[in-house]
Amino acid sequence: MKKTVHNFPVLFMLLVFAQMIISNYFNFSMFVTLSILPAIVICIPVSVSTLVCMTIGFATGLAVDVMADGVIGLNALALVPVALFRRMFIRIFLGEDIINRNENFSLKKNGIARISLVMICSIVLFFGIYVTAECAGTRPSWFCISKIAASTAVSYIVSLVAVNILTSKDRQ
Amino acid sequence: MSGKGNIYHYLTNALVFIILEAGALVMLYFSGPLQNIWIMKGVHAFMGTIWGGSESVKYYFSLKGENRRLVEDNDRLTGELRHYKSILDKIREQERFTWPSSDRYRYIPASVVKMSHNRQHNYIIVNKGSEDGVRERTGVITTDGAVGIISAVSRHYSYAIAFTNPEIAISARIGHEGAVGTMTWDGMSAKGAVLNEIPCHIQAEPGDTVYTSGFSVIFPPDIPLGTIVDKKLKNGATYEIKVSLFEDFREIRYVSIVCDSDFDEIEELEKR
Repeated sequence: MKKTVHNFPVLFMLLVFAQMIISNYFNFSMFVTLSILPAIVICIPVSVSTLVCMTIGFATGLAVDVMADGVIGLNALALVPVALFRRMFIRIFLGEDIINRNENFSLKKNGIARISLVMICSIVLFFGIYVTAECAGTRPSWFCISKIAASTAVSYIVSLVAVNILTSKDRQ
Repeated sequence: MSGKGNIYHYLTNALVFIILEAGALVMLYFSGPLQNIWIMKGVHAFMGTIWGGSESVKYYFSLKGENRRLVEDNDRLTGELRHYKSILDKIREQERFTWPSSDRYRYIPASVVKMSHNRQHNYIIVNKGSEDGVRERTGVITTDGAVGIISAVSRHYSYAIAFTNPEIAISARIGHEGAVGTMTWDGMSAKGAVLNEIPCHIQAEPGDTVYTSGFSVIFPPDIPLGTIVDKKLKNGATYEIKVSLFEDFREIRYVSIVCDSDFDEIEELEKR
């Protein structure tokens, strides 16, 4: 467990760096935005308080915004609510015990189905805010909804990989 | 964690959340022109809601003053209404009776100030007196018939004996050219009268109209009084005819006082 905690910041920063690369070079379509940021925020150890988690989320989002030459504040705006609701999602889908014992979750331990629910909720929340702010009332609703759906679907698959990387040490 | 600690924890989280989101929005505002407009629209909508809400609260607390102002307005408008109503009453009073122009008769419009209609000896007081040219023994009429005879006059008011009084008898004619008799109140109903002294050979049928005869200096001729209801032979020589009056004495508000310009001359001639 201690090893995991020590490795987490490094892995976290590597994944943030990976997100910066994705944002800069992997623009598949105007309907799809790929982001693993909600997943890595959700994977922040449960022992970390919501307050700290929101701050980390804000800083991470801001770093990606700056480094990815995007609209500054967009990722930060969308990521802070994910950090705020992180414990609530975990409590609902993974159970109260994880919160009470400050345990970390993993795909192996908690199952892909439950982890997927947490991921999907956080990704939908993230893209709901991200796409709304990005479109800024200039695009029709169907476009926004389509983009949220497509981005969630693509990001979910990539996020599972990110979750696996961040929580894999628990298996050891 | 205790309940108080929980609340403190949630409040801190909410505060930090708001600060971070506000910071992100500020950065978004300065970095993207679209987001700039979008955020400003949101801010304006929010401010509009806040100001609208505060205006509603302000309006609620100013209701007391508003009510006082409405009461004052109501008083003022009621006063104005009363004023215009009195003007309208005067106009109506003048326009109600448009009698045919005649050199002999002059008509003075008047309003009924007081009257009785439930007694055996009924009276009417009208708002015209000697200063308006009213004199004793002049007739009071409406378009529906003879109402009474002026018996006393003050400067501004006149007292008339109503037709619904046994002391009054009016010279009346059946039709415009029929037999003439004396009509008096029947003493029982407000619309009932009796026409006497009609010879038995005269044709008088129910429904025939009875008019003033004009054989006096009090009432001009041809004022419709009522219709014949029934007749019965009296003493084998004359008919006693029941007449239903047109005039409803309970609803009289405006009348006309008839002044005969030949009154003095005819009176003097009668005295000789």
